[in-house]
Amino acid sequence: MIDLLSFAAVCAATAFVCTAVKEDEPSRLGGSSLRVFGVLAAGIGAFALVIQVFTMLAG
Amino acid sequence: MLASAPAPAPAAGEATPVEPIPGGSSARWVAALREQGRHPELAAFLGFLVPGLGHVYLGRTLKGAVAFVFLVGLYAAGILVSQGECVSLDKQNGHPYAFFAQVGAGLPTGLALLHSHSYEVKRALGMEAERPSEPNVESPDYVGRLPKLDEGLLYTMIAGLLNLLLIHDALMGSPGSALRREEEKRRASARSGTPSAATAAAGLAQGAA
Repeated sequence: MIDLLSFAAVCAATAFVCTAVKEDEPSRLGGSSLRVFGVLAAGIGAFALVIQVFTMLAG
Repeated sequence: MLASAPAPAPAAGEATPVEPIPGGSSARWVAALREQGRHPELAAFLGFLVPGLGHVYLGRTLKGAVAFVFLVGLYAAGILVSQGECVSLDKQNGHPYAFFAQVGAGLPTGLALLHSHSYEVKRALGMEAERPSEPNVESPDYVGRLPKLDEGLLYTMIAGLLNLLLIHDALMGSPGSALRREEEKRRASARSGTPSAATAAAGLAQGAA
């Protein structure tokens, strides 16, 4: 659980900063950050899932 | 400085010409800030010292506050999980190369460095200090702490590197927002048939405010 939380925290910080250098307006900043966070977390999660599946098949 | 000379009005039935805006959006962002008496260089320095402080200085309080919570929180989490051992310049037991990423967060890294090198600092100040014992790298306790040390290194390095992006943002502005504002102003002025560069610069200055 702690690992998942820390993963989410790192993804959230990265998503916010990467959006902040493009967006200034608070209304757009929140929504865009959330979108980048979703893409980051889902992308990394999907990649980890694929690795797990391959590892299981190889085992 | 921001506005150029107004263009002649187009003839009836002619498409309104859209003037090219001189200079990059970042250059005009900096100029607009200077006209308000704010210095992007000072903002960058403040942002280097404390993540988010540069943005607060520029009047972008929400952005600065969220950045502070995320980056200082991440940095503090790294220090906590590694028990303060992840920031060190010691060539034997420290991580001097990781320091180049961690140093992006200036003051937190400075404080953590003072903590991990307290013996050397006390000696330099002429104070009495007990030399820390060398860690036994083969002991199960030390080996068991290594994953947490790696975790702490990761968090502090990410926070330092992300703060470099925020320092750049404080110094040069957000090109996406500036360009969008300019585009909106140019479209509006093209529709109304008035010169665009001055209104675009005004939009940029409005964004800086």
